[in-house]
Amino acid sequence: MLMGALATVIFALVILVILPSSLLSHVEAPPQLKRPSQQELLGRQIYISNGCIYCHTQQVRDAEITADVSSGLGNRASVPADYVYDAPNLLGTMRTGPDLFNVGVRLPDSNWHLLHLYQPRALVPWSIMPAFPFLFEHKPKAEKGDKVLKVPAAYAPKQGVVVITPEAAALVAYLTSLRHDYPIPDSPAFKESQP
Amino acid sequence: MFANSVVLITLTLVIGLPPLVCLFMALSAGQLDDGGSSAESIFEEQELRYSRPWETRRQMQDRVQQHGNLMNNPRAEWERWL
Amino acid sequence: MTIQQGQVDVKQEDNSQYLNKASAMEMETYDQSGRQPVLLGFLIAVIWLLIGTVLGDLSSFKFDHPDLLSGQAYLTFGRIRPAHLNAMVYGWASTAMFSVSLWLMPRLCRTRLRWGRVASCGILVWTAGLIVGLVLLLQGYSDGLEWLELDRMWADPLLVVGAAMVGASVWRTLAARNVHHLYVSVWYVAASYPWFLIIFLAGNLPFYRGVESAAVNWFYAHNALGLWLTAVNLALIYYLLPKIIGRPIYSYWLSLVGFWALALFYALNGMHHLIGGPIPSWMIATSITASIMMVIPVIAVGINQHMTVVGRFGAMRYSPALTLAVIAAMSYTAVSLQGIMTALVSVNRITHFTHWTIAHSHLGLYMFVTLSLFGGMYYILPRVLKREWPSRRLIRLHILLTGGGMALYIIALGIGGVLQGLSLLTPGTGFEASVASTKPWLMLRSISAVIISVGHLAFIYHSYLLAFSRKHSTTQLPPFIEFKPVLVKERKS
Repeated sequence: MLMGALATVIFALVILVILPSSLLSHVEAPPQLKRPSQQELLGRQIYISNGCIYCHTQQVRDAEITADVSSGLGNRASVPADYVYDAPNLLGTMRTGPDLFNVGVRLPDSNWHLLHLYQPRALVPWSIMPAFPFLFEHKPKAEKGDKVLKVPAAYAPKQGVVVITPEAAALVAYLTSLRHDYPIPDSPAFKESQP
Repeated sequence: MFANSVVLITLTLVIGLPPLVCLFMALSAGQLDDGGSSAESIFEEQELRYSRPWETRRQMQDRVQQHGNLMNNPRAEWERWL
Repeated sequence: MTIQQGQVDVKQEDNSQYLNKASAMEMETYDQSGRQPVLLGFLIAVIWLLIGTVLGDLSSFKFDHPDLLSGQAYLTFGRIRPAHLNAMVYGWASTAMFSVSLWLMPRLCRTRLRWGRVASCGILVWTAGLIVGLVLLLQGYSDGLEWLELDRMWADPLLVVGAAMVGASVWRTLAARNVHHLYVSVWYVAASYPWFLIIFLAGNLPFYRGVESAAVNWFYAHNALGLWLTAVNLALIYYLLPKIIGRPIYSYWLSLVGFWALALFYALNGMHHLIGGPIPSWMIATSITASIMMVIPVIAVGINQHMTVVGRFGAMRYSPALTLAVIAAMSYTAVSLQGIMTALVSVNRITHFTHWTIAHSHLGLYMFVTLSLFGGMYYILPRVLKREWPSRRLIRLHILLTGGGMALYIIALGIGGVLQGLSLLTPGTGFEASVASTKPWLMLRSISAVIISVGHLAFIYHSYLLAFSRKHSTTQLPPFIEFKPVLVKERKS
């Protein structure tokens, strides 16, 4: 019993002493990383509640061990500073769909995203992404102030129009806001994450 | 916030240290001394003497030598199933 | 201290009687002392198994037909899939593990179960929390972290209270024990409850941001596997193998090495889920090192269990519980070695982010955890209900369909995952190639999912027959007796 308590104290001390305080540094947001707007945060919430994370990552891995950079997912690997505004994290573990860390750079067109959410196969025939028609409203006629989505005839409802809900607009605003193409800030804390 | 997470280091210690303490306590209480009898403690009396239909002659001889003459399991467990 | 009549653990004298082995009648008393919570837990677990199966099948079919049932928000893939995981991990596996631990502890501590009512209430509270959490999840309220999706305001507190109540019963029974030496299973079971509570609470705290949130996420998810699901199931296997075979564990000392190595080194493992990601390299290096060190307990457990059964594999023809426990034990070794291998950067660069991960997790959560729990139920239920399983044909059907179906599942997704990973590593092929390379394998996965589901239906129907019908077993032969002995020579009588 005594031995156990003693060992605990020694172990804890060693850990605390050999951990230099310089290691316990802080990460600051890079100047080019924008704080998300209210709409983008709502979009992020839609992203979470519909489980986009189960098929899409939001991280670009080290160029030396993967093809992430060479296949155009970003111009550099992601670093902790890119995620300072993220709570919870959405790093993800599956790439059933492509990485979205820089989707705002690759695909900046909101209309493309809206139609792609309504019916992915209208734009990408081989896609296995689920459609999200419930993020849109089917109305017989567009009312005043409604934003109508143009859908190709093959995928459009037989009658009426497809109206964009605020949720769909928010999700697209979030997606197009995902741009991390600024250079890595030049501070020791950032460099440390580089191998 | 990051680079080195205080939270994570704390968590690892919280998970890792108590077992270390327990290990010393168990050692000093003699928990790790008599492995043989601990290993046999799960068996009911006579249970090791029950003849088991899958055993080879050699394995049955071993069983007789170690635990005494073979008996039939009163609950007929091997004829049904477990 | 007053002594109630008929109570088995008489305390007025010394406990020298416990130096002897227990009589069969004594064991029966222990089994009956936990009857209520054990049966309740298994009943609820089986219902979750059914729900989880439906959710899993639906998720799988959605890969083949992305427009299947996409009209309603609560049926979208991104909600059904986490619902499947949570129903299986917290509903099926955890609830069944409650029952297993409440059945093991009295037997191993040689005392009746203490605070059984508290345990029953704990199971109900846990289940209530899970129902709330899953309904909210399907409604779109998710905490957004894998394995920790359940709502931290409304669901998680109930889960914590429920697990703590079951844990209290386990620890109270341990405190009232009549044995001096603790069997290795007791170590595993008793340790798993505080472990689970600590990691679950820590994982659900709301103040993590950015990559720290990811790090804590995987700290939790990995330890939930190692310190909760693995711990209780290894405890069960360490009990069932020697008990059915009829010889003590090959090396008791080795089994303790396995336990303590797990206890001391497992916590650091989780970060290997973030290899190549935006995490400081020293953390990932530590985690890879810790993962490789897991070879020690894994090999210790593997050798020990193999040497206990070796030469007696023929016993599997007599006992479905043993059959399942042996497959589960082998899968534990396999999944751990696969996990250690996947933690190596050279492998991880291919398999990370692919269906390989899903195959790996099913090898662990199904071939190891679920089959071990099935084995436990085959052994425990007749003893608690004092009835024999009614049908050998249903047992055979169940084991062959689930075992075979899951083997197909893991092979199909493993191959699909590697192809997907190789395609993702080749720049210039475009993303289409990686999707196309997985499609046939995902289809094969759906087929195996159907096979497994049929196996589950057989098992659930059989459990229903065992519990509620008056029909009893008429045959007097074990389910696999007609199988030719493969690993042993048949005994000539």
